[in-house]
Amino acid sequence: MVEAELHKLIDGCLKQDRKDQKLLYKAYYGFAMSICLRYAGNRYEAAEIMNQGFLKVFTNLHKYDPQRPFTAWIGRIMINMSVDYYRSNLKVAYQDDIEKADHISSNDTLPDQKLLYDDLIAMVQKLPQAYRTVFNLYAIEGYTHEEIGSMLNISTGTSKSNLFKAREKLKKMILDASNRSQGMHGSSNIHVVAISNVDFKVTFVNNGLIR
Amino acid sequence: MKEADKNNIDRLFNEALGNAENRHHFRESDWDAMEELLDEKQKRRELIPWYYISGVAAVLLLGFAWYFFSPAVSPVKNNANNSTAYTAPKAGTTKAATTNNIVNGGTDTTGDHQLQSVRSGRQHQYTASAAVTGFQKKLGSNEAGQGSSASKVLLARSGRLVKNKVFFPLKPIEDYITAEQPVEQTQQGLTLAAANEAGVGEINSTLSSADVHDSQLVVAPGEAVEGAPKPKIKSLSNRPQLSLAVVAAPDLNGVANLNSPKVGTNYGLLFSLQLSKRWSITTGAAYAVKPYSADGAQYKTPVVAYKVNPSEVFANCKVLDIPLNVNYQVYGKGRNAIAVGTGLSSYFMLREHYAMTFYNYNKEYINNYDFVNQNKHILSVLNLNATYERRLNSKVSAIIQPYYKLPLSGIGAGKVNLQSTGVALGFNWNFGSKPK
Repeated sequence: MVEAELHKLIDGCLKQDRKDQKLLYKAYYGFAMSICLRYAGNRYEAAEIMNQGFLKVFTNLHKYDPQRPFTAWIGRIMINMSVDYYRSNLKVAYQDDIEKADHISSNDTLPDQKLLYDDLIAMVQKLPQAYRTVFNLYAIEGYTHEEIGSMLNISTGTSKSNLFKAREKLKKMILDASNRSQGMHGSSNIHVVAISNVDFKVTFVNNGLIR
Repeated sequence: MKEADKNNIDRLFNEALGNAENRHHFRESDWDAMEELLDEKQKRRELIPWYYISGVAAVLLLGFAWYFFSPAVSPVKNNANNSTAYTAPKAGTTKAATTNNIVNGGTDTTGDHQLQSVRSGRQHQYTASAAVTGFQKKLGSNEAGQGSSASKVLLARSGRLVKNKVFFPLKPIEDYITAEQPVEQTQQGLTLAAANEAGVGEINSTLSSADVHDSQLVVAPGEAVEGAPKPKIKSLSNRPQLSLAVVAAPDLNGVANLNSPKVGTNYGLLFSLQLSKRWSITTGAAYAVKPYSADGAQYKTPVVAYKVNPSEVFANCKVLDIPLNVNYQVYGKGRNAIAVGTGLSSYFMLREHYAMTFYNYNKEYINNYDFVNQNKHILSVLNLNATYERRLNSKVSAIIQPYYKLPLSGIGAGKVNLQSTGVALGFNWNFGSKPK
């Protein structure tokens, strides 16, 4: 969006012009949704978080410093709202038993499979909320464990642990997806069913995605 | 922020999810939900000033009511004397007074002197010819009536006995002189000390003992003035009885019950309008600090109504309480009165602070939330109170008021059943009393 156009929209929003509010909402809808979807368990929750975030945007627009990028400001609000969402769901955030997370050796490899955005976002959303929040903050937003600990009221160790568990789970999901993909391919070809595990692994090309 | 991580999983997700804004297209249904939020917010914003304006208007209304019901200039009647119109002296002399008094016609004459007794309900005011309040009176000697130069009235400050045994509560001269009371008449028997020797003196607006000459005027409580006609009480005023109370109370607050209350404070300024002998209505404003604690089951998370409640909440709310109560006096004798009252209060949540505790694997997390002017509950709290009032003097009384406040709807962002009780202590100033 052109800066002049953005400022015009912001001015309109400051005057509570509903038309301008909708235009601003539309303009940053995709950006905000892409953030909230990563922190939410599903699209419905993501929309709820996003709208709360936009409400904060509209009510705090007078605090926005035009010298700074608007995208960064709105993104920060969406992340903060997602963190609030995490806080309000703390009881269920850890309901997923850590022990249930299958241990995967760090030597396991990732299949060289083209994973689509929809697949990856679905994997992230399948993570327990505590893992998902830490993983997003660390891997996508780039916060340190100290910063995450402070934001989520958890210790640095807990943040690290959650990140580790998140990675393990994601890796397992990627492997499962690859296996399913191969299995589906095999099911279409009856004789593939007979392929041994060893043969199965051979079909993957290790392109360096080794942890 | 950290340095870019080399972890493959992180990189994979970062690259795939980090810039995905073009993948999500606008949905009208999401905007509809957004509009609802905005409408709700706007409604709140619009309502808040109206509530403040309404409060101010109510106070002004009471003020205007008091002003307009105030009587016009009401001359004091003297039924024992042929009064002539009083011609106000030149500047600096006595002002024609406006009183709401009832002249009892208690005229006592010593020589040419007339004495009028003026009563105004429980209060007593006087004419310049020595109307005496609360006392029956007699003139001790006829010196007071021996000509203008000798005529003297002994007026002193309330409670101070001066020279010749006479003491009257000191009031502005307006209270002692009526428009119809001729100065000449005053001079005949009881002349204010400031009167000049010639007989038609100027009357200072107030009198002090220094202005007073010797006098043999004696006023003794309980002694009837010989020959005085029986008092005839007649109200000349239709002023409503208004009172202003200043109260403070320790405020005990609890959710659902008051088993383990937190102690806050409550300061109030209350106006009362007497509708009849027993009925009155009260409104005003009270500022209350209401701390309380609640468990998660009693509470909804205030930020957004998400799925999970906090384990424990400690809240501290600053509340503007606008009550509208009706009171009924069940007992009133002498200086004491007892009334019961009920009504509804509107709560304006000026500031709400919530410290929410979450427990997770024996770890405790506390998140704080603050709201400013975000919630209000119009006529949503039931007030029950009883008031004991003890009159200290004609204007002021002390009050003790146990009260209980029961919400009819959820209070604050958490919509909790916040109950309050306490005993308010304070003073009541009767500033528009009706003569009795």
